[in-house]
This record gives sequence, structure tokens and C-alpha cells, in this order.
Amino acid sequence: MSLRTLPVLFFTLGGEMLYILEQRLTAQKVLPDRAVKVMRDILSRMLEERCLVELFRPQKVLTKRSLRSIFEQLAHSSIMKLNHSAMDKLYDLMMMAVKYQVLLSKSGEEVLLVSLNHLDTIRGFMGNSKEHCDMVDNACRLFKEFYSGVSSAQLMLMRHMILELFQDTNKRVSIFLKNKAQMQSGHFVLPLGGPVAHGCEVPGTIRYYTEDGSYTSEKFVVGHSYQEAEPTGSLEVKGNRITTLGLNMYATVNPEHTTVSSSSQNRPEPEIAESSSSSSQHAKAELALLERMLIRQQPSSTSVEKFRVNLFSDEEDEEDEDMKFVVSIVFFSPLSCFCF
Amino acid sequence: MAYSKGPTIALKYSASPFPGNLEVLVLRGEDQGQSSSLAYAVAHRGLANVVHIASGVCTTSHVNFEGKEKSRDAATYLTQAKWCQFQSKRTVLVLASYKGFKVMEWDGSSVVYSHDLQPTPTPGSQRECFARGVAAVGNALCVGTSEGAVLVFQIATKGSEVAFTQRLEGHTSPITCLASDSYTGALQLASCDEEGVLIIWGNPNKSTESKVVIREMESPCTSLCLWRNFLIGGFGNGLVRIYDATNGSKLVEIAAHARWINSLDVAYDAGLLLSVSEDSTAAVWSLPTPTNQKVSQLGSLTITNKLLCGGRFCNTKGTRFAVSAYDNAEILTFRTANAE
Repeated sequence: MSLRTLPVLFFTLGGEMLYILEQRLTAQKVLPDRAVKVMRDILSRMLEERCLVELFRPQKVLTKRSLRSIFEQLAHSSIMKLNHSAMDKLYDLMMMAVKYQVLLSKSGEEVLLVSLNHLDTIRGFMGNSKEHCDMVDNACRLFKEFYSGVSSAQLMLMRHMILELFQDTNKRVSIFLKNKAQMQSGHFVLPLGGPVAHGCEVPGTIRYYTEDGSYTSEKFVVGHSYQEAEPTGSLEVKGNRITTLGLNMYATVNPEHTTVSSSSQNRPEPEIAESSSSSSQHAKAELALLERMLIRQQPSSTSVEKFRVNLFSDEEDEEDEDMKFVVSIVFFSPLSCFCF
Repeated sequence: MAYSKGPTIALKYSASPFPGNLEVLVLRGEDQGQSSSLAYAVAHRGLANVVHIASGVCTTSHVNFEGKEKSRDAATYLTQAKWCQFQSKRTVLVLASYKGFKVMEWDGSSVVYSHDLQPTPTPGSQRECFARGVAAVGNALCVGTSEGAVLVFQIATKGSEVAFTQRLEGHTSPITCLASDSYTGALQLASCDEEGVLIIWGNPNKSTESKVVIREMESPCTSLCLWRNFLIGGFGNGLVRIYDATNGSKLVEIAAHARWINSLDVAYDAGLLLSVSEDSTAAVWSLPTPTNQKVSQLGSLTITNKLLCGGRFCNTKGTRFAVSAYDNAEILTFRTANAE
């Protein structure tokens, strides 16, 4: 199996979480310095040394539940408090976005570039804090080292394992539905034609070889219009990733398009039971990893300011299946530092 | 040859995204008057969906790799679920996973043999040992491993006697596929790996020497077929290559697909090749014959919004074929106008 799924999952899911949060903070007109502090605090926890050490170790893929715990703790670590329902919806959005990006990636290499697109965008959220931008640069460097020398086949296996993780998760996301990227069943629309995958040739040629290695060619008709593969994206700390998958799709949309609902086809996830001792050992190993990765933060001051921010839209003209919920954002800081 | 959509077969669980995730077994009626029936196997995480269609009646079941209930442990996830028919007329179902492999009665009713693969400790290596690639040659069962070895076992005509015979060494990267000519019973095995090396072995019961080694190297070989004097390989770069199986010389190269090829199959009597790819197309080709050395594309079907992961002909005339798609709990079938 692939032992290299976790860094991709961590940065793509984490990146999506920050995209959604940033969009909501902006839409709700939260004061810019407060909004940036929220983002920086979460990023500091995500890219803390102890967390990165655990992250960049070859290891088995985590379950969806364990990954959710990581992000729930991250979301709660500095100033956010999400109720269970809000966390469910946030996590559903994160999963569906990552599933979409990994599915539409034409290769395992493209999945790595998608992850770096997330890191690039997160760097942009940090404003002019050199400390936080350096943390992102460090993460990019470690990411590149971790995946260097991994074969195409192993990267594709990693992509397949991530797809297997999100198999049967088919929540409808309003932004995808609106852009006709998703069907009512929850399955995604797969584009046809366009650039071929990296390393592939445009289909339509048959070559007949002779003993000396020379060949004659014939053409055949292909049903779709394909072009040459795009240039290879860069895995450097800063570079052109080429792919647009993994960029912030919420940056130019209205807030009400960050809603998620169950698909029209109800495919119940089949019963899962931990029956064998090896699977309970596996579960213990996962819990131990979570213990090491998850960050505990003690509030450093006695004063607390609260205000409510809607994480998702509560517009009255939304579809029936959209749900409303509210997030409390709690700031822990000396009163004197914050002025309304 | 125009193929149109045939009946859709419902599965209990959706298909996992790995290459070659569809197998078909043609069960010949025991008496002269009985018509044959078809069985399909599609893997979902740690289990195989098995569908048996006889006289218009469809029976759906599933076979777990381990335990009675669905396991959450990714180590039990399948890399392959394949039927093997031996010279003795015995048919078994082989489930290969990230833990090892199991041999079961053809309907999955009981386990005949279980083989755990332990990782070979290598300093600095993080690779785990998994099974992938299954083929029957005579009365031998051959299973590929992620260490690049092919393990050969003798299977008794009845009962649970399965004896390890030998280990074929020749690949240095994980095996992706094994192929044999079980239709004619010719005693020849072929194997391919993640680097793009293809090996033709001759009779694995007799010799451990590789006969022919082909090094394509720029892309993994994902699927393999042996038909008459030809070895046919499908590659991650969308190419199909046809070689002379006696000396490994490349005869034909087809730029067939825009993305990773996930499955190849041959309709033996008709000399047809089916290729299935992540580009959502399934194509049927006519293979070279003594009188006509050309390859032609006879049909190409775009199956919209499906990431195709498996494809198999349902008969040796090639008038019907079936495909599976990631995250879809169904098998799609296609047929020509004159199909029985």
C-alpha cells in the first residue's frame, strides 16, 4: 500500500479548511487583524515542529474519522469552537473538495502540485508575517523532500488510496453543483478531451515496428479533442504549479455557495466492525499518532471576548436540505490588545 | 463493430479505483444441455462483490478478505480479486491484499489456503510487502509481490493442499500484473512491474529462468495479456504495445488513451483486445493475425463521468464486454447487435 498519503491529505484538507474559514471571516466583515490572527494561530498549530515530525514519516493511511479528529482539534486549538454539526458540515466540504481535486488530477504527480497550491494560497493568507511565511516555506521544503524519488506508479497508488478513502462520500456541494462540476447523485463530472496526462501521447497513432527499430505510422479517429500534455509543474518552495486544482475556489464566490447536503441517492455506508485483534492494534496505533500530533493549548489570559460568526449561510431562500449553524469565535487575549 | 449499452448489473458495494478491478468467470454447464453462466467479481476495500448470473437469475454476495464483518484495516484492502482455472478443471477465487493472499472456493464459500506476506526487513526501507498479480499456469498458482518476486504454488485437484514450489526473481520493483494463456492451457507465464519491465517466463513449474526480458522503463506496465504468439501490455502513459512472445521484439505500439490504462483483456476466439482507461473510454481493437498484420480500432466508447478501473470481455467472441468504475456500485455491460 502507499505509505505516503498523510502529508497530501493534511495539506489539502487543512488548506480547504482555511479557505472556508477565510471566506467566512471576510464575508462576515470580521476586523482584518482579528481575521488574520485566527488564520495565523491555526497555521502555527498545523506547522508546529512536533506535528511535522509525525506527518513526514511513511505510515499507513488514516481513517476518515481520525483525520476528522485532527482537524477538529486544529479548528479548536486557538480560538474557534464548533458544535458537532458545524464540524460535520465543515469536514464534509473539506472532503468533497479534496476528493474532487484528487479525482480530476490526471496523475499522482498532479496530486502533489495540488497540495502545493494549497500551501501557496495559505502563505498568501499570512500577510506580512515573515515568521508564518517561513513556516509555510519550511513545510514546502519538507514536502518536496518527502516525495522526491517516489516513482510514478507509487504516486498513482497514493492517489488511488486517497480516492478509496473518500469512496462512497458523495455529499452535494452547492459551489460544485452551480459550476456543473457535480451531479445530483453527488458524483463528479469528469471532463473529456483537453491536455493529455503528463507522459502520455495524444491518442490516434498506431506504429508498426520492423526488426531494426524503424517504424511506419497510421492514424485512427479519436472521439475527443486532445492536446499535448501541459508542462511539468514545479515542486520547489516557490514555483509554477501549472494545475489550477487546489487553488481557492471560494475566493470569487458568494458566501451562500459554501453549503453541503446529502446526495439524492442514499447509499448507506456499510456496517464496519472492528472484529480482529489486528484491526484493534491498528486503531491503537492511530490513536497514539493522534496523541502525538494533536496540539493542546492553554488559554494564556483571563479575559475573553466572544462574538458569533456564521460559518455557513443562513439565507432564507436556500434549498431545504441546507442546514444553518453558528460558530462562536472566542478570543483569548488581554483586553488592552483588542479594540472594537 | 458497434457496441451499444447492455444491462447494468447492480453491486452491493462500490468499486475501488485500482487497475484491473473487474474479473469475469464463464462457468460452463456440467451437462451438455446446460448453458454456461457468468460470474463477476469487483473489489471494494477489503472485500469482493461476487455476482453470479445463471438462467437470468442474478445472485449477489460478497467475500471478505478477513473476518466475518467489513474491516476498517487498510492492510486487508484488496489489490486484486481474480478467478483461476487450472488444468485439473478446478476453479478457485484468489483475493490478493496488502497483507498477503487467500485462495477460496470459486464462490467464496470457504478458504482453501491463506498466505501472509511478511515484510523483508531492509535497513532504511519503508516498503511493506503486498500481493498483486495473480495467474494460473497448468496446476500452478502464481502470485506477484511488491518485492518484485513471483511466488509459485501447486494446487491439488481438491481439498486444501497448496504447496509452495518456488520463487521467480527477475523484477526489482513491485509486480503490477501477471498473465497466462489459461484458455489454451499453454504453460507460459508473463509478468510486469511498476518500472515498466515485462518478463516472459516459460513454464514456471519447471524453470526459474526468465526467457525474455523487455525494458520499457518510462512508464509502469499496468496490465498484461498473452494471446497466441503475442504479449500485449497496457501502460500508465496510455500506450498499448504488442510484442512477439518468443523473443520480446516490439511489433506494434498504439497511442490508445489520454491517461493511465487500467485494464486489458483479449476475446480469445475473435482475436479482439479491450482496453479500458481513466480517460473514461473503453476501446476494442482487432489484433494481428497470420493473414492481416494490421491493428484496427473497431469501436471506442466514452462512458461519461466514470473513472473506469476494470474491463473484461464476457465471451471469447468479443460480442459482449463489461466495465467497472470507481465509486460506482454497478457493472456496465455493452454488446454488439448480434450478441447472444
